Amino acid sequence: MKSKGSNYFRSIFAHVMLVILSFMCLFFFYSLFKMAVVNA
Amino acid sequence: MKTKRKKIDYSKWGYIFILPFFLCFFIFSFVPLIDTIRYSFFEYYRSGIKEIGPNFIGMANYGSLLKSDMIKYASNTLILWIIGFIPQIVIALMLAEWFVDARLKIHGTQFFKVVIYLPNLIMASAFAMLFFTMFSTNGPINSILLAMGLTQQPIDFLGSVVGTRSLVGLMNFLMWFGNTTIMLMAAIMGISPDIFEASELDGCNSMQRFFSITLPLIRPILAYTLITSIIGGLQMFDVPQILTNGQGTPDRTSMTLIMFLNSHLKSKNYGMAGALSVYLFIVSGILCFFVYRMTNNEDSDGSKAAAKKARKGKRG
Repeated sequence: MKSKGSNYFRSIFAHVMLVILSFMCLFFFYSLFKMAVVNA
Repeated sequence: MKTKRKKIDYSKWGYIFILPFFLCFFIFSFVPLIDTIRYSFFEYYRSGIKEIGPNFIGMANYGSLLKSDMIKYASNTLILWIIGFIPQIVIALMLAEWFVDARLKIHGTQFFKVVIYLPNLIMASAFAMLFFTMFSTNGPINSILLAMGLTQQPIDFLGSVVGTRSLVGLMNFLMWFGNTTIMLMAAIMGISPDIFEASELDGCNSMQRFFSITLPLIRPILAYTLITSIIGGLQMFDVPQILTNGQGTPDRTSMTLIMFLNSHLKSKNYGMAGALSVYLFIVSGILCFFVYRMTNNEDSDGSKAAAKKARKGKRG
């Protein structure tokens, strides 16, 4: 039971971290794309 | 009467097929490498339109490099590498563990894997240009901070030591953590699932499982990651070069060894550039040797140590 609870919180933490990291990666990729389009 | 069988020798085809590679390697890599070492013992540079040397001067180039700011640039390189590498390996290990742990039930794993690998596809120079534009005093990051009221004046990220070094570290982290995650994930997936099942039956929690099973068993891949990262870190050039416009600003605190080497090559000082290359070669060789020795323990299961202890016990 305890293990299930800890897994649940670990899963939430993992999802939050993944969303933050993915946002950062996508944001910089988007900025690069946007800059390329604007400069063209 | 015995007839002599004619033996067909296929090995010559192997040699023929690998010959082009070795020829190219010899002409374009090995000869320049030996020449670099040779030039490091010569005074050979260009002063205006006059070419001086090559004159043999022994170890003088090595001595004058030690008297120059080389040690400062080496410490800059080390600091920039550490700032990028430590978060990279920690987050990559965490992500790799999460991606292979079925109990966490992570949704959209394929999407996340693709997204975190994306920055690795961008060229370092393009990434550095992007950061240079975004973090400049009138760039979008400062505009956002001002609009949100988080700061009253624009922050000069590229004018401070901490700001510049952090940006270089952040870029190296963002570019390489996806690649490291994929490699570590492959290493963790290579561990036999029986070991994880046994640990679960023995009541291992996730932390014990990670530090006592996963980490020791992925040591060879960790060694590979560390060695390639050390070599890449020592050769750090494009990101700080573009971000600081080749000056290593502020006050040359983000000037790396390869930027220093590049400045010698600009002035056609082949002797000094060769000596610096030899220093770099020796340092990376020593570092890689230590990392290899530290991460490749021959007694990985502890059986040799246990046998030694038992023998000592018998004697005692």
